[in-house]
Amino acid sequence: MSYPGSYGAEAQDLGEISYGSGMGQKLPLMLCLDTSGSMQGAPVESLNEALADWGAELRADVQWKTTVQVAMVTFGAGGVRVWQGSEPFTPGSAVSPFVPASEFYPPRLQAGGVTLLTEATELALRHVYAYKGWLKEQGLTYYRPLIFLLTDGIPTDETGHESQSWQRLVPYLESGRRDNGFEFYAIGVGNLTPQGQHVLSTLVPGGFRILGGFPFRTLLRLLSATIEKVVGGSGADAPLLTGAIGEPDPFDSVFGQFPADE
Amino acid sequence: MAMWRVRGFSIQGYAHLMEGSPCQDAYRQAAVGSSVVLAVADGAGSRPRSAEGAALLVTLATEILAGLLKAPGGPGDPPTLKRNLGTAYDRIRAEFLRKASLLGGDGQAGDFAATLVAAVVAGPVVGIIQVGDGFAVVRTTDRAGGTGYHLLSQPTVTGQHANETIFVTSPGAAGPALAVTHDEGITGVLLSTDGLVPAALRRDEGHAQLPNRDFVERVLSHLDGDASDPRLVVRTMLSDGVVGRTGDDLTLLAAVRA
Repeated sequence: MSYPGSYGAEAQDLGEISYGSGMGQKLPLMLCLDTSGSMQGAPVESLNEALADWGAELRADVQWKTTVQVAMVTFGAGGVRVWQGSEPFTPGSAVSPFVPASEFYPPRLQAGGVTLLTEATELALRHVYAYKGWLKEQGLTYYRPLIFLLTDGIPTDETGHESQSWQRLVPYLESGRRDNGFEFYAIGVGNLTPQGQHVLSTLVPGGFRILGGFPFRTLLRLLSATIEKVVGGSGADAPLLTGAIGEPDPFDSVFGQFPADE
Repeated sequence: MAMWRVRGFSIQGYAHLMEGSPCQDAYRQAAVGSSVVLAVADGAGSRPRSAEGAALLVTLATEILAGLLKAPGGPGDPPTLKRNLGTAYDRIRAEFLRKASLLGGDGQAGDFAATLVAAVVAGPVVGIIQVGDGFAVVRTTDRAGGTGYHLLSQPTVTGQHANETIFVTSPGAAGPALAVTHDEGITGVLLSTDGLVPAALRRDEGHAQLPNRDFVERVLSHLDGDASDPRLVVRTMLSDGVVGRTGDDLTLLAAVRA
C-alpha cells in the first residue's frame, strides 16, 4: 500500500531524531563471582566460556547494549578484585567500574585462593550505591540494580579458614531489600555444603537457589531473562529469581533441571 | 464537525517483543461534536490482568469524559473544567475498582493495575487527568507563527527507580494530577504512557523534564498532513534510537487540528 504525498512507501521512519542525552534508563548489573581454589579447572573454564558468550549477547542486543551497565567483583585468585570490563578497575581512574554492555568484554578469569565472599559482597554493594548516586547526580533514571552473587563454597577469612563475617552482611541486605535499593540474587553451585547453603539462605531468604554442577550458561540465560523482565516494565515487584519460597517461581522449571544432589 | 484529527499507536515494547508477551498498554478516543476526549493507560507489568485493566480504564475514561462534554454547559471555563475533571476521575476510579473486583473477585482489583492519562480537548481548552508515569504535551502556535511545545502533565515517579509509580488501583491514587490550559493557539495534543519518556522528553541543565521537540514535532507535523503514513510513526517508535532507550510498551495518542 502506498500513500500520496512526500512520504513514499519505502520511507523507513520520521528521520534522524535527536534524543535528549541521558534520557535512556540504565540498569546497573553487578556480578559478584567466586573464583576461589575450588573453582579451578573445568568450573572456571566453563564460567569463562559462558561469560564470553553472554557478553557477546549483551553487546549484540539493540536495547541491552545501551541500557545494561555491567561491573564485576571476583573473589578468589588475586583476592577481591573489581573489574571494569576486561580490565581490573583502578579507583580514581574512572567514576565507576560500570561500563555499558556495548563495551563489556569479560576478563579471562583464573581460579585460586580463598573465599572472601563477605568482603567482595561489601565492595560490590559500595560500588552499586556509588553508581546509583552518580546516576542520580546526573539526573539519569535507572532501574533497580541487580546484584548476582555466585559461589560454590563457604565464606573464609584471608587464611582460608571458615569465617562468620558474612553475618554482618545480613542487615545490609535486609535494608537493601526493604528500601528497594537493589535486587540481590545468590546462587550456590558445585558441591555446596549444608553450611554454604545455610549462608545463602540466611543472606537472601527466599532469594537464593542451590544448583548442582556448574550450569553457568543456564544461569546467565536466567540472568538475561531477569534483565528482560526488568526493562520490559515489570516494575518493582516483578516475580524474578527471588519469588518467595513456596510461591510459584517462573524459573523453577529450569532450576529443577539441576538439583543440588545431581 | 470534527476539528481534530486523532491517531493512536500502541505497540509492544522491545522487551515484550523479544519474550513474546503482549502489549499491556491501551488507548481510546471519542469525539463529541467538535471536541475529543483521549485516554492512554499502561498496565502494570507485574500484575496478571493489567492489560485488561488498561483496556477497561481507557474505556471508562473516554465514556465518562465524553459524558462531561455532553452535559449542559459542556466543559465550562478552566476552573470549572478542573473541578469537573476531579469529579469525573472519582467516577472513573470508582467504576474501575468496582468492575475490576467483579472480574477478579473481591480484593483483587490490584491485579488490573494501570496508569492513566486522559484529556478533554475542547476548542482552546485542554484538560488533563493523570495518575502514574504517563505524560501529556501540548503544541501551541502563537500569532507570529512560532510553535511551542509544553509538558502539561509530567510523569509521576514514586520510587527511586524507573518503573516505580502509582496506579489507579493504588491507595494513594484517589487524588490525580489535574491540569487545565486555555490557549487559542493550541494545535496539537500528545498523550503517552511512560514507554516513550526517553524519546519524547528530555531534561534541561537543571534536570527538569521538557518535551523533546525533535521527536514531538516530527510526530505531530507528520500527522498534520492529510496524507500522513502512520507506518512511519510506528517505525520510529521501534527504531534503534527509541529501542536503545526503553524496552517498555509504547503508546502514543495524538490529536492535531484538522
